Amino acid sequence: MTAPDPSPDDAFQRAAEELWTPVYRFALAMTNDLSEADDVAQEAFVRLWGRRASIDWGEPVLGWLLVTARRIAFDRFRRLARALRFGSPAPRAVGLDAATIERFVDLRAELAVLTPAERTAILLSAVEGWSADEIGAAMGVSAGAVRAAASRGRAKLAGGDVR
Amino acid sequence: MSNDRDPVEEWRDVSRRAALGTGYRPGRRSVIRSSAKVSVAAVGALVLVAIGGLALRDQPPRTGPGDPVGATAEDANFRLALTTPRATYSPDDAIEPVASVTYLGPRATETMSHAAYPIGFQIKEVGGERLMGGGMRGPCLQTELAKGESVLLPFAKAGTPDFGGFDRAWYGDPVLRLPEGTWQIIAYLDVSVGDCGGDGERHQLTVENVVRVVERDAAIPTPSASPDHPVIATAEDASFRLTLTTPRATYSPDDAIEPVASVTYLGPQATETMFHAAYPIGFRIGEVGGERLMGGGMDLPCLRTELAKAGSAVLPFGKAGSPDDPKQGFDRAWYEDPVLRLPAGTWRIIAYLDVYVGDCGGEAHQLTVENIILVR
Repeated sequence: MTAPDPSPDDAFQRAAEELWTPVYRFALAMTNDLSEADDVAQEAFVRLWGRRASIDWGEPVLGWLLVTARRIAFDRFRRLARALRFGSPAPRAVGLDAATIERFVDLRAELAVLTPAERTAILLSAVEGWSADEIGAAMGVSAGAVRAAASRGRAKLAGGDVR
Repeated sequence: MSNDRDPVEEWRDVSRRAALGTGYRPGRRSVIRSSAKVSVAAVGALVLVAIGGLALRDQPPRTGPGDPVGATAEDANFRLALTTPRATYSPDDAIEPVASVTYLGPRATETMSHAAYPIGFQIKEVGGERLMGGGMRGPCLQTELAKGESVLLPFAKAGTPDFGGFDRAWYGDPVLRLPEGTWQIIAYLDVSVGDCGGDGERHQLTVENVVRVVERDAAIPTPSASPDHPVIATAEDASFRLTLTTPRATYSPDDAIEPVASVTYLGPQATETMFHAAYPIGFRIGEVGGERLMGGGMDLPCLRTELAKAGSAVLPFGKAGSPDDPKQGFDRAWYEDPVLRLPAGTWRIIAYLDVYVGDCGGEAHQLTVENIILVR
């Protein structure tokens, strides 16, 4: 006897528990900003919640979440560019301990030399163990482009020629 | 920082801690329009009053040089809108056109395939030779919109330096400033649905705003031809109308300015429930040509307000923002005074609707309107 399929609400809750960290990390690699990453990941899950009744929960939803997060992040880049012209205050991280924020401030400056694609290619392959194909699907680019971005990024971090 | 530790390993640990310190929070929405997380305590003075019927009537279009210039075009599926904050500028002024595309239906969501952006911009001199613009090239990117949802795109320069009368330095400055003359600012939507390129169903729309650029003294914004008349702006999608009214166009620094915003449910249901943060409507204030700013995002659990068809919820202006941010230009005493008074200058008062229907996180409705007033 097989267990009944979980309800959409239960399936969503499980996805939110299991997939928050990879989606948040993806958003953090894209934005290089703790607060922005939180907002992007939250928005991706809010959109998933809105579609929970129509989603086939038998299929993995991580890919959908990552593509959604990427679109939200790029939209936010455009909005941020405009907000900066209006002089909006810098986003502040919330809900995090001071030590984590302090450590990230240093790291953020170091990683700021990388493009979002380079950060994503390097960090998510090393930290989440994703393949170039998986990262490419999330970023909307080919696996070759991911490998090239990772190579450029590593050269930048090593202080080498990046061209 | 120390150079002997691996940034990837450091990121592994910091990102894990950050992910654990955040996490998905049911019922919480991010406000995309502003990433700033601000104190919302100051909005406590807001009073939400649900009333039946239209409290505010649409006014005929205004043509004062300080008024916004707007244009829209739509087909069966998309609406393209272009707004430029004023009709008249000086050559030193930053001109800030914003275009938006709204998906009108009939599907619950639609994916637009497009070049770098779904909307492109052109600038043409009326009666002259100067122009900026050109086709967009790039990979077939995609943007998904829910029914009634909009994407905003601020103006961005694109084209070929030294061709069309604008040099490399002009293209290098991201801010749009134009020489004296009359100019068409054109926004064009060029997207496909169903498939990228020739096999998809193509949607092309064009709108334009005409602005004049004159010598500085003549370009001082005049918010309204009649300073004692109310300033009213509206925006709507298929379901909601957002209206912002400021009682006068001109004030003195001691005057109480009392903007009021309202959201009206247009149908088609007999009633509709809006899910929103602290309030369905937020406010911002920006100094035209200056740095001073008030406003920020709302970030609270999903509350709900039910509206009958043609019913409205009215919100008087409430202050919200960061009193301790010196860059914003308003101090704590200003925030603690519930009455809105502003220093001499020209100011944008912005109201934005940010709600979901169906469920918290369901179908998004976002609208923005602004009034421009003069304080002297």
